[in-house]
Amino acid sequence: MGIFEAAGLEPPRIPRGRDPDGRFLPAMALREDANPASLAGDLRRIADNQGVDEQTVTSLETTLIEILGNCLHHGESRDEVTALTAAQAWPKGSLAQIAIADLGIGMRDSLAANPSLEPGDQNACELASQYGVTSKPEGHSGYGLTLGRELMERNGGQFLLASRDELFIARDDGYIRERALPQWPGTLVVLEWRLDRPLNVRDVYDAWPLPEGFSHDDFDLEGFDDLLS
Amino acid sequence: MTTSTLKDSTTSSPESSLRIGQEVSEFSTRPHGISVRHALARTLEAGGEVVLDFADTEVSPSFAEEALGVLAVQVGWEHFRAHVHLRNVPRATQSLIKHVIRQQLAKHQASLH
Repeated sequence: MGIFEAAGLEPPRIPRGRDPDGRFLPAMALREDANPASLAGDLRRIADNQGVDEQTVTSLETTLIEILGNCLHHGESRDEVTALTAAQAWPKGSLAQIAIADLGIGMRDSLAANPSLEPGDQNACELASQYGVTSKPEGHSGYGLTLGRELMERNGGQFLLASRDELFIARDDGYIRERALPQWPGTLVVLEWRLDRPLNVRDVYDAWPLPEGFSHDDFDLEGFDDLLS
Repeated sequence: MTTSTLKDSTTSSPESSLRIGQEVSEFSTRPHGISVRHALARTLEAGGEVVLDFADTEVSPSFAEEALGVLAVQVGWEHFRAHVHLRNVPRATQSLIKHVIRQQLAKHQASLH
């Protein structure tokens, strides 16, 4: 709802307005200087409105901040509108979905900035959502997409990433990799989760591995618990 | 979420207490994590102690990586553990902080070889 207005376009027809009743958030257009935390706070309402637990809402918000931050600051959009977002929930089906579509350079071109990555024939969207993969190896760890993907997978939901002619979907019955779809010029991320199951970033953090070649014994962080008091 | 500003931590006080949810405008993006790290590093390098009170505030991975993971490398783990104190850290954020510190220390060691 509101997709034409969000893009600054005249809608071809004016649909009858529907009371959102907490079930959807109209499309929003994002500029480059938008605040990821503020936007995530807006989008988390789609979960808040369904009465889910606080940990789920916080986990979703943390994930959105990461993804929106990447999208706004590193998507390299050439358009005044950097991205569009929308959200919807289906309470009877126990599902909710948030979509973020940016107008940046796309996933494959973005990954090309990392000389250690050679996607070749590999699906660039799948690669970008793997732990430790980043287009900016100097100082960035690429947490956003992998956090979104793993959070949705653990919930039994679905993570969709599409860019140009590449599509990757992760869901509980497996992975889908496609090419030659109707193309989106930038990158589209869709987070879809089950409302009757929790989202918990802690489970994702605890499952993240150490860098290749290292074990937990190398850095057991002796004394870490002493910091926490 | 809290929307106040980060106070300058270049204090001569031997202990600088930073209530992260109250004194940081955002605890959720990489640029803010870098700002916080700079403030904390100034205090530590001046011989001060840092107390970070999360007051049940969750931080994002990029923020934690910049503010604490990179800081641990910058000042060294032993100095970090001796002079940085974390209060009221939510369970998820505990896992995250441990991960980013371990990750950054491991990367740093790999870069030395």
